[in-house]
Amino acid sequence: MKFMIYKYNRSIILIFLISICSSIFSVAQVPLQDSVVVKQNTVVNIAYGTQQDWMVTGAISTIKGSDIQSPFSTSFTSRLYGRIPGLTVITGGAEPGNENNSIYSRGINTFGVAGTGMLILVDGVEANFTDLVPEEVESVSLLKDASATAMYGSRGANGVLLVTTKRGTKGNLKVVFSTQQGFQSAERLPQFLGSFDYARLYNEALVNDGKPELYTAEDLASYQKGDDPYFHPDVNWYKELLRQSAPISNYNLNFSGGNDKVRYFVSLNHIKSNSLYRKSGDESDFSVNGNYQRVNFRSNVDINLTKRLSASLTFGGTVVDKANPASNNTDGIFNAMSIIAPNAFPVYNPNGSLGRNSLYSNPLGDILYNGFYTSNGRTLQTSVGFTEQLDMITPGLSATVNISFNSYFLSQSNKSRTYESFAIKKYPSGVIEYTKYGINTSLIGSEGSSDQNRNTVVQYFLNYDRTFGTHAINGILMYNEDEYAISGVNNFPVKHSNISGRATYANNQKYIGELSFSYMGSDNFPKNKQFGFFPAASLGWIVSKEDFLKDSKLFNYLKIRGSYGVIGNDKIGGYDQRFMFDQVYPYASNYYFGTTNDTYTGIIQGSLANPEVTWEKEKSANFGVEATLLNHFDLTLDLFNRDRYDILVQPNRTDPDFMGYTKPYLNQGRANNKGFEGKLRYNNDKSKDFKFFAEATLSYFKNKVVYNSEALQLYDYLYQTGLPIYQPFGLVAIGFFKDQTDIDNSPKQIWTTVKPGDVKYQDKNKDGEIDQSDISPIGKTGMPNLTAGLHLGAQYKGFDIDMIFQGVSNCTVYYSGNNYEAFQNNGKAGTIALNRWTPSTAETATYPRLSSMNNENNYQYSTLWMHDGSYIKLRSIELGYNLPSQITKLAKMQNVRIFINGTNVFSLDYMHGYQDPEIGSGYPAVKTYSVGVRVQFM
Amino acid sequence: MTSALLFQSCEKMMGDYLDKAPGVDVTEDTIFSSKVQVETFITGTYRYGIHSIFPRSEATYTGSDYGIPIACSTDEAEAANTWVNQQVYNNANVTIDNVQGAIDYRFNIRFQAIRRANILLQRIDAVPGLDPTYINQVKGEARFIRALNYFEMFKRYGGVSIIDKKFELTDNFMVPRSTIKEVVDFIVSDCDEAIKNLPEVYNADMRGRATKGAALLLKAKTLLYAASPLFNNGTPYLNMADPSNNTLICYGDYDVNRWKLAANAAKAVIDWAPAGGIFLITDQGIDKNYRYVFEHCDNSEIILANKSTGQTGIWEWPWTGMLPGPFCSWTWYMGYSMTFNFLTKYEKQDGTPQTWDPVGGNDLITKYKELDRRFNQSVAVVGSYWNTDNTIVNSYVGGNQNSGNIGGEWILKFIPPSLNQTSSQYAMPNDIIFRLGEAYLDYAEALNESDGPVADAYAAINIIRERSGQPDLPTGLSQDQFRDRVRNERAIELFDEDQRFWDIMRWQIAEQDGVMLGSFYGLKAYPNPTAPNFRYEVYKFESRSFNRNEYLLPFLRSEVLKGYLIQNPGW
Repeated sequence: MKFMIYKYNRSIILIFLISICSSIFSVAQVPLQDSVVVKQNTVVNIAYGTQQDWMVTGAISTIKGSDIQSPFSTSFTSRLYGRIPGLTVITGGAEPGNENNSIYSRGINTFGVAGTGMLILVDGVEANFTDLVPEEVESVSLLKDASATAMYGSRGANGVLLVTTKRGTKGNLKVVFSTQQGFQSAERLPQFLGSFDYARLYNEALVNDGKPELYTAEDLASYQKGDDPYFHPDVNWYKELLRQSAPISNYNLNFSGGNDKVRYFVSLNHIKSNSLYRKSGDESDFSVNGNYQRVNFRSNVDINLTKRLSASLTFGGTVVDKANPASNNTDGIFNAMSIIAPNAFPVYNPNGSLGRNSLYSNPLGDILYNGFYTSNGRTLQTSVGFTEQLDMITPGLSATVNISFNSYFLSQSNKSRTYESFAIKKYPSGVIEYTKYGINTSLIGSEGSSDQNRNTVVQYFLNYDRTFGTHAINGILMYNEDEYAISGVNNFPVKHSNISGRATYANNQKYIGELSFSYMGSDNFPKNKQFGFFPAASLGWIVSKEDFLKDSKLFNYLKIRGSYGVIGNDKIGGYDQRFMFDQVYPYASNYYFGTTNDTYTGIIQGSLANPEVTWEKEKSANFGVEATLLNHFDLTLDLFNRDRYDILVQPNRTDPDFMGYTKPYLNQGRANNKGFEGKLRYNNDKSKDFKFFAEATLSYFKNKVVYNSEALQLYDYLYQTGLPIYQPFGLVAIGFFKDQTDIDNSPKQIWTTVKPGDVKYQDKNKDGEIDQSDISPIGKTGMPNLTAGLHLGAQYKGFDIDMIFQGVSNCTVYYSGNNYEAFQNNGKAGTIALNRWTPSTAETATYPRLSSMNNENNYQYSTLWMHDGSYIKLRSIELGYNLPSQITKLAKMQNVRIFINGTNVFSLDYMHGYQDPEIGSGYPAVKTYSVGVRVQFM
Repeated sequence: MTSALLFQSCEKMMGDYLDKAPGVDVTEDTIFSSKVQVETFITGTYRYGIHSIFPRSEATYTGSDYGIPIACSTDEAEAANTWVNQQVYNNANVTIDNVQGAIDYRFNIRFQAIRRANILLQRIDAVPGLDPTYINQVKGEARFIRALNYFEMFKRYGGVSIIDKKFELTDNFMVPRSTIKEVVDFIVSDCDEAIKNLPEVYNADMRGRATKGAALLLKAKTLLYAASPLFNNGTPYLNMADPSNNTLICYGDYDVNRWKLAANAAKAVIDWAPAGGIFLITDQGIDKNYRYVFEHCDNSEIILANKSTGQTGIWEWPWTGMLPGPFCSWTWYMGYSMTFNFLTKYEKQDGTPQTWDPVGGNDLITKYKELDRRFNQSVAVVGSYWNTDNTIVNSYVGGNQNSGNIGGEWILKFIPPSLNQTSSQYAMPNDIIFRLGEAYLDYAEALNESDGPVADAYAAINIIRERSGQPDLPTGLSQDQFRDRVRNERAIELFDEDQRFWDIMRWQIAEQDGVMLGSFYGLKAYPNPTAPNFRYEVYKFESRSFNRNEYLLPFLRSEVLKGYLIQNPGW
């Protein structure tokens, strides 16, 4: 046996490894169940319905709501890192309520102006999803291939995420209460130099620029000793404005149960996360404590009205309250903290007034005395559905109608004022001069509403589900109309109508075939060209049901499946208008006729109409394997190839400039994306006392621009075509100039006169001059194309432990901003500047020479500032203990679990501590430690 | 098949659910439904269609960013800063990649203007409720704007692609270049139509729109350029890569009749002028007539001006590109000064040449005062009064207004003295495209070439000289002598009016030493030892380069690579 293995490919090696593992875990010979029966008990959410797991032939990955209780975060998407194969989560920030994570299915496969976001449906309709809490979510399913998404027609090509909320099941009333209380703290803060180093390096920078030093030896000594807090201050604004940790808490109460007539699920959740700012509201009457809080409520009820008619009511919503000192977001304050030099001015002046200088206001004063911003957002998701069993026509037939209405509203209330602060100056006589800035005023209020969206959806379904003998048939035909209205004079509602259907046939629970289609229309497109047909077909074969595998010890279950289809993306983007088939002429340019030069309004020409404009299409192929091996291993593996075409591009390559218009976007672009994703789970629950599982996920994609009609370029290396989508372009840094001879012997760099220690760039085109023609593809994209997750869990008696690791690779982090660009834009210097070039450190320097003025040469977009963005993070670790039932019973409780959790506990990465690999500036990445209890009452 | 039918019937059943709701979008149909809307479209067409002779900030005006007047690319002036785009000519740094960015920002914008003109011509007839006179006027304006933009391309590139209809996406875009003859004929025929249709004059509230006179002058100028040596020639300045394409850049023969046509067309402008209320400014006094033309918008000498802005602030375009830096701390581009090469073109007030000592002398102010009165109306000389902010121009060596003054005299021809940093920060730019004075010079030049220095040619040039106090040209000049005098007169009268650069090109004199090639001199003023007079020193400030391929601009490389354009020679 051994000898054969090496002759075969890697999959055999994998099997070999698995057999080693199995010997380690010494599989017990438990009686085998029919594998398909197991899969019958699992129901998978698919487009507009559900299917038994064995019957599914598309690429779908699902995670249960109960499985994403940790990590602990205000954002739902923050719980999905590395959990669903094929799903990439890109962090948008860590500020509570402002995370703005974006999620992608199998990466991205379009470019330019097109929308890359996937279709996200909550209970079948578009609705707010990031504000949901896991306690109200039954499952999250990612639909990835054409077979799974064909019914979403021109909205499916970027992938579809189905979020299903919990519903009641028949049984006694179940009441669950849980709470989690914790503290958040900054995972990493930017590291800046203190006053002594700042002044020392600033002197060096001045000398480099041929200017006299600013700080005398006495100044430096004073900074070093810290003996003059007013005129030689050393202020770390992060310490002044932020607190070490801020509380976060969550409370959830839910009820569920039901009988033959009515089933219900009711949930109420309150989450509150305080911002890392110090408690400015407690200190000042003109401020508030920064915080975010949200109430989620849900009531999902199912009623059997008659024997055949049932109704389903879905009602959920959120109320979000945010309060923030100084402004409605934290960006400005965090920018101030990162730019004001530590010795610029003291927090408080000798007379107790607030300090500042002519350039910068006092950030502490800003959060304490500038007023505050509060906002209130409300979402409502309502849906009513009726289902009638039509057994009298033919058994297995039913009809459903579903009406949904969702709305979102955000209003703001801002209170602002000005306050006085003083710049101080000391004369040699010792007299201190105070220069006043601003005056104290009372708060002035303003209110407003910003976003208002509503979404109305009507759906009609005809379902058929029947088994005759060895034949199983499952079918659906549906019609959908949806309208998404956004506030704003120029915003037209986004409308779709869709006829779609699916038919699945299975023979002997062994051979499965499925056809699905959508005939979808979108109002984005010209009349008579609004509708498109999107078909997909898939096949499945449950190999383990075949005789030759019936007695296999290795394969308890083995299914192979393949699909092919065409799907679309109607979020094609556009120049300045949604209806690209209309030529528009915005009013914009003036001319001044008449001897008195009166203004006359002129119309300008928008980009040319594209009367043929259409949606993007994608030919998507998928091949998948699902297997249960040796009773303990569950494996899912999918390979895909996606060819996207009809992506909007401007015909810069072909159309002459004399057309006399802004070039229209035409459906000419093409992209390709291929890759794989898989999940391997090992489950060992044979012992009652000790249970263990390990689940690994891996997702990989590789995309490229196939055609984008880019203008003809002088050098081949300037083309985007053939490269990954969003490939960065920049200069290649090849070191620092050693000395004047080196400069004289090198190509001229056009931005400024370079000096020794400045960044030296590669002359790509060898024309003896470094300019914009020398940029070439450098580094990788910001979006990782490899995401891996490892979820480990074990239970021993009442104790349990659960760990979630997630890592990414193949991405680049670009160092930019105040943390990295020492003294630029009148800023301070980060600790990275200590690695600067000086004549004596020329050999080891990793940072260019310092300059006190903006240096056009050194901060060009180049490889110098690129760093490997790979990381491994411990997203969550949780230790729990289930109280013994003997005790809980006394308190009329069925189940009590207490736990401690750490979220984002550590990150292994290549950032050298300068920043988090996901969040470079602004509100810092946070880690959270919490304790919680979950009680299920009888 | 059946399913297709099924879907179609489904689509019908869904009715108009997906129809676009009525909205506030303006479409071409809404524009051409009423006179009010058509007028807004025409307004926008002027904005795109009328270029500016000044540096302007945005693409819908003329010039380029980092711009100062094009005079700085010729012997007229030198820019205070080395990095302004106009310097690319001085160091022969025009390339097929920077041509649009540095030299010809308006390349694409012109085609937008032309497209708008084509749309007007195609659709104006069908607008309900318009009276025929108005329809004719609009057609005349559209043709004028189209012709003006073609003229602006013709003088830069030679033969270009003629687009005389509104292109749709389905049209074949690959329109090749037309020959010089075709382009000139196209411009002239547009002008002839416009002359027929345009009014002599508009009401005061519509001043700024194209009149019959504007079309007449555009035609005259087109024919003058067409008759000039660059185009009216058996051989081009350089052979095309395939010499059979030479007709794209010159006629391929010399025909004296082209001068005759040019002379007749210029005469037509002069004859028309009284009907349009257009007169030379002669009533302000011989030392003020010239200045009056530039200081007063919409004066009676102006036939067409760019009116794309109202009053602009001293920190805004065009002032920020033209005001000397030492005069105003808010300008970015530091101004420009007259070269010594150009200074020597000014005659003395008695009509004889001024003698300048190549080494220098102690009598600078005396020499200045002897010059043609137009000199002092174009520049601010050292020691003079400029305005309330700058009561004495300290542009001498060591003076606080000398930084960037390379040529010797700050150019302030278009800058109203009222504009100052302390109390009057806004002024209306007087952006003259066509003025009657030019027509006299066009006429004198063309007539001399076709008929020799006849009396009418003398009369035309002398009218221009007289109103600024210069004596008549001496009689008995040969044709060559008269040509030299008329060219010099043109240089002086039209100084810094976006004219000389193109005159140099069409006369093919750029390669002459001191015009756009070779040594360029400036003048340094010293207050000692002879106050209130100034000592002067002549010095060479730079050597400029010029390559013959620069007589016409190249097309942008990325455009040529699209395969429909044949590139001009030498690029």
